[in-house]
Order: sequence, then C-alpha cells, then structure tokens
Amino acid sequence: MAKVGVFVCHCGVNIAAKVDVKRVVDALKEMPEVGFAHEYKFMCSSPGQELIRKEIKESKINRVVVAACSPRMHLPTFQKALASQGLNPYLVSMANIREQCSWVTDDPEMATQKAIDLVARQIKRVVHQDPLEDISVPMTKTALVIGGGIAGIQAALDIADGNRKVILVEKSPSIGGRMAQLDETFPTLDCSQCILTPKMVEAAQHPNIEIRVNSEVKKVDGYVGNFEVTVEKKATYVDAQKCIGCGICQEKCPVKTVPDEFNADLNLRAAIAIPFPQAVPAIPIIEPDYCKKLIENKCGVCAKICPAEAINYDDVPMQETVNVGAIVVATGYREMDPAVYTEYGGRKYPDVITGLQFERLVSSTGPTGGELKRPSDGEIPKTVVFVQCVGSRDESKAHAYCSGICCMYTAKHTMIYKHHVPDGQAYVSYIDIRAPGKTYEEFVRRAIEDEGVRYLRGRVAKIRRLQNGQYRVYTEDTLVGRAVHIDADMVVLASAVEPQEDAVGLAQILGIAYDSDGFYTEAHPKLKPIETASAGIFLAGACQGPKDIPASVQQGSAAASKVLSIFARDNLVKSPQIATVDPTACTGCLTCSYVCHYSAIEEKEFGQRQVAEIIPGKCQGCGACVATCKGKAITLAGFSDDEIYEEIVSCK
Amino acid sequence: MQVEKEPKILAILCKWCSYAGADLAGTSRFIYPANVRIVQVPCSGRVDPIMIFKAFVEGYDGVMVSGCHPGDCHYGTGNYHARRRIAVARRLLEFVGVHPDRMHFTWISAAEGKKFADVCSRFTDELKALSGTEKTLARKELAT
Amino acid sequence: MPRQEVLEKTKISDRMFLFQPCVGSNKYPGLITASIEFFRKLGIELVTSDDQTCCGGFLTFTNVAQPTSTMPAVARNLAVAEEMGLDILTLCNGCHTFLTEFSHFMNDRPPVKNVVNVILSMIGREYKGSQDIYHSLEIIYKLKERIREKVTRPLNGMKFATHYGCHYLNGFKKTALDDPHMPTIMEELIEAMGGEIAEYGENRTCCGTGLTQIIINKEDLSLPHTKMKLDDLNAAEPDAVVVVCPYCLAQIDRMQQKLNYRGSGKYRVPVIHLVQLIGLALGVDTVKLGFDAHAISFRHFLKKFDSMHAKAEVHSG
Repeated sequence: MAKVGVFVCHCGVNIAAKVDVKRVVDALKEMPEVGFAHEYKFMCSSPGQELIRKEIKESKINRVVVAACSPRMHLPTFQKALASQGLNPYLVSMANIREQCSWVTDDPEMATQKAIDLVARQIKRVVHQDPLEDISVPMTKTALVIGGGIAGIQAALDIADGNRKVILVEKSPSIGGRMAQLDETFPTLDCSQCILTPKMVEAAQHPNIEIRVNSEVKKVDGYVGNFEVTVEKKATYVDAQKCIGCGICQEKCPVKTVPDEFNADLNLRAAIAIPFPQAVPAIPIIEPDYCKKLIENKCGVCAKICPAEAINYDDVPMQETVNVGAIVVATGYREMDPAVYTEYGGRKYPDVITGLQFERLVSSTGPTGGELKRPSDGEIPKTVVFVQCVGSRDESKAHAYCSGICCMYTAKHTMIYKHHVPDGQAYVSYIDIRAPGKTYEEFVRRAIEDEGVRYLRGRVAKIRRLQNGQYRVYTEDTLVGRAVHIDADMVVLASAVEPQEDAVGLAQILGIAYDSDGFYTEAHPKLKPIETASAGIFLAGACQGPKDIPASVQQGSAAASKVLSIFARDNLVKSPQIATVDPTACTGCLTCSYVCHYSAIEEKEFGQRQVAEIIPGKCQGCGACVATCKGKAITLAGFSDDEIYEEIVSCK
Repeated sequence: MQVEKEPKILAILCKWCSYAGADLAGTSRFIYPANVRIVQVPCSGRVDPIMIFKAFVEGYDGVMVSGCHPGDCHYGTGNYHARRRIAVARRLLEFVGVHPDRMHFTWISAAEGKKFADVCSRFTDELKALSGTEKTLARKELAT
Repeated sequence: MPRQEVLEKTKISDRMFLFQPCVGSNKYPGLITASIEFFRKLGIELVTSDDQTCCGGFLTFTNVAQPTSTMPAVARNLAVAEEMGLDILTLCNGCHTFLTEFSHFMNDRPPVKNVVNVILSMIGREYKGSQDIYHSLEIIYKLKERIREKVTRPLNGMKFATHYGCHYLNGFKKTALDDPHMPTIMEELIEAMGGEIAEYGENRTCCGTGLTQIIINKEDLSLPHTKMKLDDLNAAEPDAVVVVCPYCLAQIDRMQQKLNYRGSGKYRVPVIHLVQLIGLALGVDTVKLGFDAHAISFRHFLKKFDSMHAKAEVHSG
C-alpha cells in the first residue's frame, strides 16, 4: 500500500502570499493515500531536504510529493534526497504550485483551490509511479573520426591524448583537408601549411591514432557505446606497406592529363601521384579513369621503375568492420561551382576564378610556384576585382545563408595580392562586411586603410570579356548611389561554402539529421551545438555549417571532450525513462518502428512470431511509439498511460 | 441571469518547449485563467488521441496540446506526428458531436511565456462563446 | 543553355498565325516575306490577317495608356488567331513579351477575362485563351535539324555577331527558353548553318531603342549607349549582326547612319533579322529578303557571301 508523504513549500512569500498553504495541507490530509502532510518555508533548502529525509526514516512513507516550484528547477534535488535514504529516486513527484498557480493567478481563493487540485493530482499520480533503475550499457572505448581536415585532426588528437584509441577515416589520399590548400590564414597571415603540417605529422605518429586514407564509411549499425562501422578502402593500386614515397612514378608517368584536384583544377598532373608534397601519408595513388595500364593494359611504366615494387594493378576495394563507441563527423565543406552564375561568365572566362583557385595561384606549392599569374596568358594582373557573396545570401540562384568566411578570406586575398603585386589595385564588391571574430574587424580595416584596397558596396551585375583580354565588371557603389564599371585583369569570385557532395548520403548512413542545404543538424542550436539527435554521434567543423579554422578547431576539441566524457565512465548510464514492448501484447505490426526517430525499434522473434523490440541503448524516451501502438503494448517508463490518465482523470 | 461557468481546460504540454514556456509565463507573472490544468508529456508525439477524448469524458471543456515549433522538436519529428494525429482526432470529435474548436493545437517554445498565457486566455474566451452550441451541432448531424 | 522543359512544351504545327510587327511591316517588310518564304520551305504555312492590329505593347511600355485599356486590344488580336484555330508566331521581342504576359494575366484571372470579353462582345468576338504564343526564335530553334538539312547556301566563311534584345532575354520568365545571362541558341543556329560567331563583350547590352521611341525620344541618352555597343561590336569585326527583334534592328541599323552623319565614327555593320538570315541560307530570293529597306547597305555583305560560294563552287567543281 502506497503511503505518500506530502510537503508543501511556502517559497518565502512566492507561494504563501497567494495560496493559503495551511488550507492546502488540511485538505490533503483527508486523502486516503496521504500518510501525512507538512508545510515548510523553503523545501529546497538543506533543512527542507532534511525534513524529507527524516520523515522517510521515521514515518515509513514510500512515495513523496513536493508541492513547490517547477520540476524543471528542483526535481533532481528531491530525487537525491530520496536516494540518500535508500528510496528509489523515481518515486517522487512535484506539484508545480508556483509557476502554474501562485504566480499566474490573481484571486487568492482561486489560487488556493487550484493548488489543492494540483497537489491532489500529483498524489494520485505518484501512486502509479514505479521504481526505476538507471540503465547501464557496456561500451567500446574507441572513437571513429570521419574526415581528416583540421576539425577531424584536432578531435582525433584530443581523444588520442586522452588515452583512447581513434580511427581516423579520410576519403582522399591524404589528411589535411581544405586547410592544406590554403596559402595564408586570417587574421594573422601566418602560413597555413606551416601550422597545419606539424599537426598532420603528430596525428600520423600518434600511437593511439590509426589513419585510414582513401576510405569511406559505408554502413553504421548499433548505438552509442557499441557502433559497428563498415569502412571501405578503395583500390589505390599502390601497396602502402611497400611504398617509400620517393615519387619517381609520378615523374615518369606518361599520362599527364588528370585535373589536379588539390590545385583546384588549375593544372594537370600525372595519373599516378602523391596529392601534394606535404601529404600524410606521402603515398601515391593511381587514377583508374586515366591510367593507360588499367584502361587498355598498355604502359605499365610505374610498375617497372618502382624501386620498392609497390605497384599492384590488381588492387580491389576492401571492406572492414570496426567497433567503436562514439563517432565524430568532420566531413567539412566544398566550394560551390559558380557555373550557375552565367552573368559572371559561368566558368567560361579563364581569368574569372574562385577563391580557392586564388589560394592555389598564390601558394608556393601551387601551379605557378607562388607567382601570381593569371591563368589565360600568364600575365601579372594589375587590376583585380574580388566579388563577395557569390552563391551566398542569394536564394534565387544558390543559397540563402551567409557563408561566413568569405568576408575575411577576401580581405586576406586582397592583402596577399598587394604583397605579390604592390603596384596593383584591388577592388572588393561586397554587400556587408561581416567580421565578428577576435581582431577580424581590425584585419579588414587594415586591408582598406593600410593596403589601399577599394571596397565598393554593391552587387556585381555582370562581367564581360573585352576585346583586349580584360574583363569589364559592372557593379554599383550604393554608398555613392552610382553604377560603376571596372576593367580588371582578373576577377576572383568568393564562391559559397557548400556541404560535401555526398553529405546527405553519409547522414542517411549515420542516421543523423541534415537541413535543407545539406548541413548536418545539431541536437540543439544553442545548448547542444556538438551533439546530433543520435546519441554518441558528434559534429565538428564545416559539415555542420560554414566555419573558419578557429571555430572548426574549437568544435573539434569540443567533440573530443564529449567523446572522452562518454568514455570516462565504465559503463554508459542512461535515463531509465524509456519505452519497452510487452511482447505478449505486441502484434508485430511494427508501425512503431516507422515513427521512431532513432531507429531504436527492431524486429525480434518471440515464440512463433515476430514482435517489436526496443533497444534500450538507442531509445531516447520520446514516446512517439507509445501513442502509435494500437495494441497498447508499449509502455514509457515515467510517462506510462497509468500515470498520465490518472492526472487527467483526477480533475475536480 | 445565467451565471457564466468558467470552462475547464486541460493543457497537454511537451517537457522541452511548451512546459518550459508555461514555466516562463509563471516566472514573468503573466496572469491567465486559473482553470487551466497542465499535464506534462515528454513530447507532443506521446499524445494519444484517446487522452483528448478521455479529457472530454472526464468533464473538461477544452483540451489544448502544444509542442515545440516545427523543426525544433527535441526528438526531431515528434511534433509532426502529433500534428497528424490531432488533425484526425479533430474530425473524430466533430463526428461524435463535440465542437472541434474545443481542441486547440499550437506550438509554444520555451521562450514564449507570453504566448502561453495569451493562448490560455483566448482559448477560455472561445470556449465561453462555444458553450451551448454543441447540441445544435449534434442535432444537425443527425438530421443529415 | 536552353531550358529543356520549355523546349519540350514548344509545339510545331503545320499552320501558324504570323503576328506582323508594326516596325516590321512599315520599316522592314523583308521580315514578313522572308519568314513566309522559308517557313514554307520547312513545311509550315504562315497565315496573316488584315484584321490584326498593333500588339499595343508600345502604348504600355511608354506609359501612354493603362494596361487595362490596352488589354481588350490584345485580346482582340489573340481572338483573331484563335478564331482560325492557330498558334501565334511573333517576329518581335515586344509583341512576344506583351502578348504572352497579357494572355497569362487574363488566363490566370477569370474576372479580368470576363470584363475583357464583355467589351469584346460589343464587336462580336470572344477571347478564350486556348492558343500558344511563340517567339520565332523558339520555333526556329526547335526546327534546327530541319534547317540544317535544308540549307542550300551555307554561311561558310562569314562571321556573325548576335544580339538577343532585352525583352527576349529578360522577358516573361515562365516561357523564356534560354538563360538570360548566357544565351546560346542563336549561336547554335548560326553554326548549324555553317557560319562563325564573332564574340563581343556587349552582347547582352540593350540596343537603346527604349529611349528612342517616338514618345520618349531621348536621343541624347540613347545615342551614346548605342555607340558603346557598336564600338565593341566593330572591334569584333563581324560581317553582320543578327537580331531577333525589329525594334533592335531599327535602332542598331538606323543609329549607325545617324552616328555617321554626326561624324562620330564610321559604322557600317549590316544588321539582319534571324528570319532574313535563314531565308538567305535556305535560298530564298534575295529581293524577297528586303535588304534594300535597311539603312546600312548589304552590298559588301552580299558580295562576300557570293564570293564565298563562288570559291566553294571552284573547289567542288
């Protein structure tokens, strides 16, 4: 028989000024379930909690109702008080007579009536509450990081430094990501490679990190603590164990027609190549679509000259399943193809290039060896127009969102340009300058004031090639209110940040949400920016939304700390307020599995038939399946039908 | 003169957004009618239409269900399930002769304390205006 | 790149109603005779009607009349073709934009259509809104392969610059066939007939006629604008510039003469409407193409054209 102890709080005058607490206590004492009812000035204070502890010990009550503020505020406080006396913490319920009663009701009489009703309902409810035990799930303390850009590298290093194993999966032949392609970084103009390469090497040499390049995640099963991930390594035709990275194959390969992806397709490279000089690992791969040996079984030069006999033309893709406990998704972004902007030439004009191509043009490892020459004729451009917001903030052509990094990298580009061509003139066409980071605004001012870059506020209408090889950029200066045109030698389009091409496909493999643009959605935009809606999967870097390097590194570290905090426990502890299926009542229709957002419901055999089963590790306790179940075979602990209907029924 | 009865309202609120919104209404001291009773559910997707019918059977004059705004659901899609179920429940209510406007479905975020208080006040007024119309509705249904 | 979905919707019928442009009829009659002639060669009969009046766009573009007062006139013209059960083919960007835009406006708004029909009933007509309205460029583009087969005098060795015109490029969005910022269909047609393309930067720039029209007549604004376009055009050295609108034709053609008179340079690029060019390639009698009506002489152009063919004959003979 349930014996409920009731404690009514005054909350100073917050409750007592409107609600006649004495009357409430007297009214409740009449209820058969109630063992006793007390009032106290501040239930949440130490003496208040002591009162509960004392009564549990002395009066042998087995259920508690505290009538005070919102359970969102103090339910954990009172649960701890119960637990300290050996009573199950899920046997307490709170009546919210402050936020829902004393603070929102004018008339003291009505407030008192309502308070009695609210507490009485919780007394009826608490009788139906069952003791619950926290769920303990064992886990594999290895993390998987998808994407070897700066965010992924940072996450991997932090987890590895926390003495946990990390598997770093990278799609391309080398880690480093977009940052490896950059020349200098804002707002300090330090060389991107110089700060990135040590981190790449550190990751490669870390005993806790296993780097898997040329690999992609194909399948993810399981749940937090126990993921089973299928990783596919594509055929590279070079044995990584034997290769010594001398690069002689790259020199001798007769096929030099492969667009160099690392140089943003500005030049052509060999069919077998190390992606870039600082690549980690520095092992070449063969492009099967270009290699003569693989297409028509001719040539074979690389195999002949390789001193380590590392070339293997019979290589095939290989799949392997790994067990991990947590996943960090850091797949990064790609630069939008500005081809849809036909008014800007739509990639037809050779000297209208993108921001990333400009980075490669000025980089010492780029196609021109660091000399700024325009692609069409190799001349040094004396006038360059930088166009911002190409594809960003333009819903009609591309994306409604702001790409965030372009204002800053354009300012950086203008400075690099001025350092390469001191007598040249740079123009920037912008809508607004968005530079909210630390020392970012100062950086832009430096470009404008010290370097003499001319910023014109307005959108570029069109770009046309003139007969003399220049490009006429038609734009406006809205601050002066005039249409202007500039004859430029080169135009750089700050093309939008876009999710990776296969972002949605990977999201579907992982079972995480993505927005209409294809960026991955965090669990809460403010309070859970790292987590996804799926437990144990975290986001880092630009796959979640456009980000610069500092923000990506921050998010990488944040994701690592989330992973480490999961791994810090022996077992995974979950809230016991989850759904369970009564297999004897389940008809096996599995309608519940269609509404489950977490794919937590699976089919299992029970007796001679199939029934639904909820995986405790995956269930988050939303209850969508409970409302869906026609046979009422599913119960949600803590919010069972008994508890909710009791609240509805016991209305006066 | 007939004394106007205060209509009783059951508000089924999700734990993450709407319940927090109701808390904010309290913290901000927005006064709303005292006849509102709140039941907390983890998510509006937990709301079974039978809860709504049960409430009418038990003598409530109106039932309000509120979840997070579309796209903001803590559980991703629970509020969409709720929206569909309630659209069906509404037609069923009409069928059994309860005016469908006695059931109100809304989105209230954790920041919308004012909205919660406003919705409660407005819903109370609407229910007062509705009192006595059901019988006619039921008779009309029978006639056709 | 042409939009496939628009291209698929374009219907070719054996008989079509040729909507005569006023600038075409009174300044460049060659456009009408050329189209009738070469469409016949392609197996399409073009029908004209003396009942048809000006499209009325002129009055609206220049803010002389309310759109509501020109709408019955538009509906009447459309009804003339509709009574014959024919789709409309226009030769002018203005006619095309104006007819499509107003027909969509009326078809989407039944109350407006009803009012228009009340007015039309006074003269015993009714506008139903059943026919399609096409620009000649769209029909011609759809017939590209048929034209390629029928070419008797290919344009080999000749260089052409193109000019699409604002009301075609930035006209009615629902029916626009090509990308307004990078149109290619006229180039494809010229290449299909063996011609070469002279690229120039001001390709998409307005010809300037909007400011020259009788009522506005701001020649001081339009002349420098047209001059800018012509200067860039001259630098590309085309044998002729191809247009698809009689207004653009008139502006680029006659303003060259005007600029020459004022001593602002030497301009003599012949301006040719696409239908005249196709007529030429398909072997329509040169007299019927009406080059004599053009202000800039076609003598050099035709001489070069003939000499190219003479050369070709020598080679083949």
